[in-house]
Amino acid sequence: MNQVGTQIQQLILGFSYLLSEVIITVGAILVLIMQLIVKEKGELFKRLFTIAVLAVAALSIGQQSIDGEFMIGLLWQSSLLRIIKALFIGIAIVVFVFPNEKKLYNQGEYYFLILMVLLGAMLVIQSANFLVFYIAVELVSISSYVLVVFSFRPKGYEAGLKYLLFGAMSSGIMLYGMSLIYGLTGSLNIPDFSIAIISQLSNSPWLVMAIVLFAIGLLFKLAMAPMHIWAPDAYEAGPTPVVGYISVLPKASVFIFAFALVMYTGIPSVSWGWNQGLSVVAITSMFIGNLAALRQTNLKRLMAYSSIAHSGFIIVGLIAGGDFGIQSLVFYLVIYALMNLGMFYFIAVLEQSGINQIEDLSGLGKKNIGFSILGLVILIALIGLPPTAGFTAKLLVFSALWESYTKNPEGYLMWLLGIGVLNSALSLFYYLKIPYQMIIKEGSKKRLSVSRTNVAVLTFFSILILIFFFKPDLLLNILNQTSFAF
Amino acid sequence: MIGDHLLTTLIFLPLLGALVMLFVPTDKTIIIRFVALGTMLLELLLTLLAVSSFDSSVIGYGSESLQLVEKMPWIDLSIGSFGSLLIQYFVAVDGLNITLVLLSGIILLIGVISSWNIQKQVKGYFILYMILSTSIMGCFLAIDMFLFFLFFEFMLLPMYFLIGIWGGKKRAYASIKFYIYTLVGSLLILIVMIGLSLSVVEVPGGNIHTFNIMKMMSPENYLSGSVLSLDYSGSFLGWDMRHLAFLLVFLGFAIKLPAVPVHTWLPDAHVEAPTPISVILAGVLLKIGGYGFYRIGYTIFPEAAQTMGWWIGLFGVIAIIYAAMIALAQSNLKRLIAYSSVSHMGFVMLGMASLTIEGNAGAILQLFSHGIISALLFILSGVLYDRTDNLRIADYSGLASKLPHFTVAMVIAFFAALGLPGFSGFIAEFLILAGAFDGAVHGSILDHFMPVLGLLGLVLGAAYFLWTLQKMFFGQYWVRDKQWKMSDLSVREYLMIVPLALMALLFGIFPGLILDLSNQTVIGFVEFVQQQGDVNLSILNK
Repeated sequence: MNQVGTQIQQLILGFSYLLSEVIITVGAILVLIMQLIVKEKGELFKRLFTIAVLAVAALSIGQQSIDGEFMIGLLWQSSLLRIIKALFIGIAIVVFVFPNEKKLYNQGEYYFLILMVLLGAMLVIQSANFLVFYIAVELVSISSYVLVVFSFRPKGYEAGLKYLLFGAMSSGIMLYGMSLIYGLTGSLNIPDFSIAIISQLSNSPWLVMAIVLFAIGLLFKLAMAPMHIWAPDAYEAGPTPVVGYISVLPKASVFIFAFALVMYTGIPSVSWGWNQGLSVVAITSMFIGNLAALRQTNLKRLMAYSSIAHSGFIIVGLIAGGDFGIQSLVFYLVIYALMNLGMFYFIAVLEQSGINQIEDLSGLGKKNIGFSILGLVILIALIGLPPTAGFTAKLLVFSALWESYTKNPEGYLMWLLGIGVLNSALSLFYYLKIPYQMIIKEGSKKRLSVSRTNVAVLTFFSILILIFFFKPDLLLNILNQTSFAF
Repeated sequence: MIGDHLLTTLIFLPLLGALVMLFVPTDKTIIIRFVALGTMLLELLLTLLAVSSFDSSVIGYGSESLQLVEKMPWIDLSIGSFGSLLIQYFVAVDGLNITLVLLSGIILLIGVISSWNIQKQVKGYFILYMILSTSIMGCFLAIDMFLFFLFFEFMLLPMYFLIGIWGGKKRAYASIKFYIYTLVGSLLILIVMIGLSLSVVEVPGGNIHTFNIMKMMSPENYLSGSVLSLDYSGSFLGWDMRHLAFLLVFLGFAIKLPAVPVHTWLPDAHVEAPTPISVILAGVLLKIGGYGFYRIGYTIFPEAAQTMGWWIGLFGVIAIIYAAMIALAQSNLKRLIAYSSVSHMGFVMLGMASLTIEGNAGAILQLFSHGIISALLFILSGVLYDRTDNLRIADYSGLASKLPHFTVAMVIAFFAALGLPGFSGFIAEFLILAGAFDGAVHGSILDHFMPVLGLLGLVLGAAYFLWTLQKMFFGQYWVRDKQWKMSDLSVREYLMIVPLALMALLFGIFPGLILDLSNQTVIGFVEFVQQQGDVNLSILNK
């Protein structure tokens, strides 16, 4: 009885470290209540209220902090994770700046679901227990399934259903892997898992199987090959702000969790073929993403394949491991968020004028050259060319990989490096289609209306992308002062 | 003020020009043209200032012999237990790049004059042109590899648009082909740059990793056991890592040069590009490939000069002969000149591979001289293209009777290009072949057949140029379309052609003007590559 008492006390105490999460939850519930009262009106008020909630949540992050486990070992926190939480909130705020038809912003549920994805993502990175991770990641996924159909079009329902069915299956696989882990170690706490695998289970086939099954579930959340098939449909059919959001946040959170898991448990050293397997996943994701993108005509589908390829680059930081690995991975994620949100914002502006095919873009650059140049900056960053932070991100990730090769000279790492770097040339083909149509091709069929706000937001993204090239220290020195360890 | 920051001013002056243009209304094209002209005139004056303040008597090659140095930390990335990555803003000149900076100053000004009759989207054109100029200058002047790479890769984007928007009928194909080829080349260099920056430290034994090319020259600055250090024992695909890295760098710059068999983007780009862009492409951009061999390939991996010199020489000779033979079969004048460029760039590889002072002095001079002569050739083919929109050799005959001045200019250009004594090309190719013979007789790097075949390349060059001359300019006057207005050279065209032709002649009669600038550095460079190469090889072979 007494022990239960202390545990409850610990749980209650733990909420003080989750102040921002509590604020988000309360805010989300309030928006739902508001929806009951004002129905489909008060778009501006709902938007401002949600942004205010997010701002307060962001400010509350540093109030009570702990470095290590809390809530009876279910969650953990570190200075780096708090920074990432703040970044996540920032991403959620950006989503509400997106232009879209009133239909979306009038729905209170829309705000609720966006906040739920955020809440889930914040819990994913803090989870120190497989079950907590599962609940958090499903909170992200289930909210995303619903968000994808918020365009209320038949195509959206189809995509949402595909996403749901495929997601449910991969969750099942992941759960099965977790059950094996429980069977092998008798615990779902990640620290216990690390002790168990280090002490006795090294290279046991059961362990490898458990890890592989679990990893398959993760790959689905990351939209990486071979679990990427849902992404193009979902991206094409979903409302653009939602797609920008789910192309960044779930991915980033699962990457951070995976890195924590790998760092803390030392899986690469005990499970045969872990890094080799990840390298294969990275290379296939890059190739599938980049090759399939070559044939796309729809902008959002193109971006779906592009983010599959980018996942292939980001996971290189995970393969590299170590300080260099995590810093390059977080740096890449931040830049990836800027690039993807910027690009989806660009697409959202185009969609307002009814443009969603690449060929519709022809000759539009001449009508608004500033807008096209801002888009060009983001595309250059996506290709990974200087002078944009997209280049710095790739440079750092591959530097981390080379550094890990120095310590552990295995040939496949060099192949990964070579193939990865040369994949940028492949991606040039399809990213350049957009400026080719806008700037080089002549004769336009469509009209384009761009407001000052649109230009201002895109300028914000572009300038950040340029600044982080010329001064990456601004970001990296912050990361360097924090620690990832718990 | 400018005295201390001369090179920085050189790099960023065109960018300033572009900034000024941004504020000029789009329809005031004449102001934009004059801003461009003024900027490039000033740029040329500044390069002349740099040349005059360059002390060509400084001996040796390396960080001590750099002049007009500007160096300051730019990016300092600290990464946990790994240490930190230091990227510097580091620009300087020595005998390797001073001549190329001068060349860029000249050609970029000529390019503006040649762009005078661009009518389509003038503002965008000149802004891109200015950005291109900045990245060209930056590329030649950077001593930090990151900075070099930044300019090297950034130059592709304005080029892509300049060919893609203002080019000929197949411009979309040509521009993307250009972009992809050169991007692949620069990515190969990127791989090596990553490895080098992780292996080389600012102070021996420290953990401040650097991109400074000068630090990459000496083995003490390599971390012991790092992948590109001399004592690294691992290998990949049966190659030791340093040779593999050299191979990647070499391939990267060979695409830019371009060398056979990765030259196929060049004829397409040239044919589709507008005249001024062809001028810059042949006159300056290709030189960056040759310069990269020197500044990065040989400087950082001197041992490869000995172990792989034979192959470099061989590929040089293949380029000379093969491209010349392809040029013989061309029906388009611009394509012919493009292939002749590939052939002439083969000489640079041959001269460099010889590892003799004559050979390398000749190669540096060849970079300069070919810059002038090929610019002249493309300007002249542009003159014809402006009048007829057609460059098919077979569509013209007996132009001499109708266009006497143009014909004289063409004869001068062709003779300069085929290496007639008295023009700069002759001195350069003579020095290269002499160096190659010397290298074959006294050294062990080249074989005798290489300079012999190189000589044959000269004969082939004479053949295709004289043949073209005969077909297009002599005999009975005839053009395919009677509507073509065949008028002789205009004042603007004289303004470009006369200085270039005079320079080809001037540097042919007084090659010392260029050779003296680079001489001491070349001596130091050859000595460094030989000695350091021997040292490195002896450590590697242990």
